[in-house]
Amino acid sequence: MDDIYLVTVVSNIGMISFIALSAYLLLVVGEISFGQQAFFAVSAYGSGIATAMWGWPIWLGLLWGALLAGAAALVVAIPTVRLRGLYFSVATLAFAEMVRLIFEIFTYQVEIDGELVGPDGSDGFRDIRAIYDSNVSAFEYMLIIYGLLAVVLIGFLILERSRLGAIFRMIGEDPMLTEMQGLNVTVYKILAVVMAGVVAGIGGALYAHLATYVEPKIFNVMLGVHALAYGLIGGLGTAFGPLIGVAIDIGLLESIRAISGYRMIVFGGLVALLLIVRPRGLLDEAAVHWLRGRWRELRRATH
Amino acid sequence: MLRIEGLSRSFGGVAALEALDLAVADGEVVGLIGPNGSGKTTLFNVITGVHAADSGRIVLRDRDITRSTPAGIVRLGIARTFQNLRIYQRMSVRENVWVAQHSLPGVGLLSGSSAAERARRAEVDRLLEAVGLADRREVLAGSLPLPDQRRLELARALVRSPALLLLDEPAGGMTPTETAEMAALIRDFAVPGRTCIVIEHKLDLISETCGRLCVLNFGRKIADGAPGEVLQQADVLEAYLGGDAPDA
Repeated sequence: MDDIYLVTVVSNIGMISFIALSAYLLLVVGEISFGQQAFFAVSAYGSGIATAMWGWPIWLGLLWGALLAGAAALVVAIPTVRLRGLYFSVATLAFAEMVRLIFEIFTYQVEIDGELVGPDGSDGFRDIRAIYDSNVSAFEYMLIIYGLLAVVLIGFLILERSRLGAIFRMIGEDPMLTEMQGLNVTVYKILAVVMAGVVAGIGGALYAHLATYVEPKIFNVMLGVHALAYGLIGGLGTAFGPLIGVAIDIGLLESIRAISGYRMIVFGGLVALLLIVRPRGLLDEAAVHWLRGRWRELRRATH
Repeated sequence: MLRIEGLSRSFGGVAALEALDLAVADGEVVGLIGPNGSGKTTLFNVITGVHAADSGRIVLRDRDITRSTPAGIVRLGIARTFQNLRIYQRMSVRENVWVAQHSLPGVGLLSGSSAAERARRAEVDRLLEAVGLADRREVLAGSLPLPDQRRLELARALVRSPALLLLDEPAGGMTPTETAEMAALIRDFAVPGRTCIVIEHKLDLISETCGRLCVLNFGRKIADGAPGEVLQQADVLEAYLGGDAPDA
């Protein structure tokens, strides 16, 4: 019993990490999105439809969901990336609410073995049973989640050392100066929004298949706000930052019985406190720079 | 190299540049002086596409760049520094120079370890060496003192080997000793082999580096010629120096 609980919590940390990384990528390019839950939702529905209704294998359903989320992000990105600051934030929030409301009325069902399967508006989408039908245990599924998370995280770490990653950070710090390094800021911002959409999408597809049931209200703005907060708590200097944020919230706060029921208050207070003392999170750029310096020294000393 | 014809730009009814004509020949180093608000930085902003021109033309090597984007103008070979220093504070000194290579032709979005990438990294190191920042290449740029940040900006502007270099108060906020060092750096390292326009209030830096001097006042050019002659003109003394004779 306890093991199942633990596996569920750890799986949740993994899935939420994807949407945290997604919001983090946009924070790096200097934009606050209140709408990453929309891409999580698009992929949850899209992958669920692919596996439960069209009979696709899970891996293909995941890929399809992530690509669908990326496509949705592209649709959002083209008109909104020229907006800055608050305007971008409001636009992403409006888009996400629009997506949620569309799922409230979206009905698409087919009869499979005498039962209606598929999204049914606000009643949600039941029986996304692909992992149970193929006898994947909860533990094995947790390993799949973390395998994919590792792949995405390695991608982020490669990105951090690359010119593309530097361009994202440059845009986040000074878009005009970045334009004056001969770079088309709009194009790179669209790329960042699409990449963030795909990353959120992977999480959404994984979520739908673990929960077997999704409904529109899961994807409300609080999911997006949490995703943002993880990066702001954990830090914007490295992709490990948002993961630390997730671990603090779900791993630590949710597991301390003494504060159960007050979790959101503690969480909100923590965000407020950190925004004052460490505006770019625990692992901010200066902290990461310092750590890398120590790491280099250590390696030099041991060689 | 650069030809500016009838260039005007105003902000909310106030003319920052008014029918300005300026031609800069290949290899020429032109000093640009004038009182605060005379349009010097606006001229740089319009040349580099930060602000659009209201009217007039900017031609770089027979190519009209008046309507080009800032990124496009940089790729055509113009680089600049900023009066209000603009560096990436949250990046290291080395990264601040490295970033100017991202848009060079043939540079990929990943940074591998190919021979070409190693050569580009060596180029960054060479520039840092030249401006005297080699020993602090791994320091966060935001933690450098102001004169070093100005040197860093200069190194970054030189990464793409620009044909035209625009320096906006390269010695702003510097002591006389630091100004002299900057003047030597500009004269011996930045300027040779390229065309340059230098905005500066410090006349000793101008006389050290520039062969020609233009004076702007209320967005108009009021003098243009050899520094020694221009600084004797009555209207220049009146506009720029309040009537006093220059000490440079």
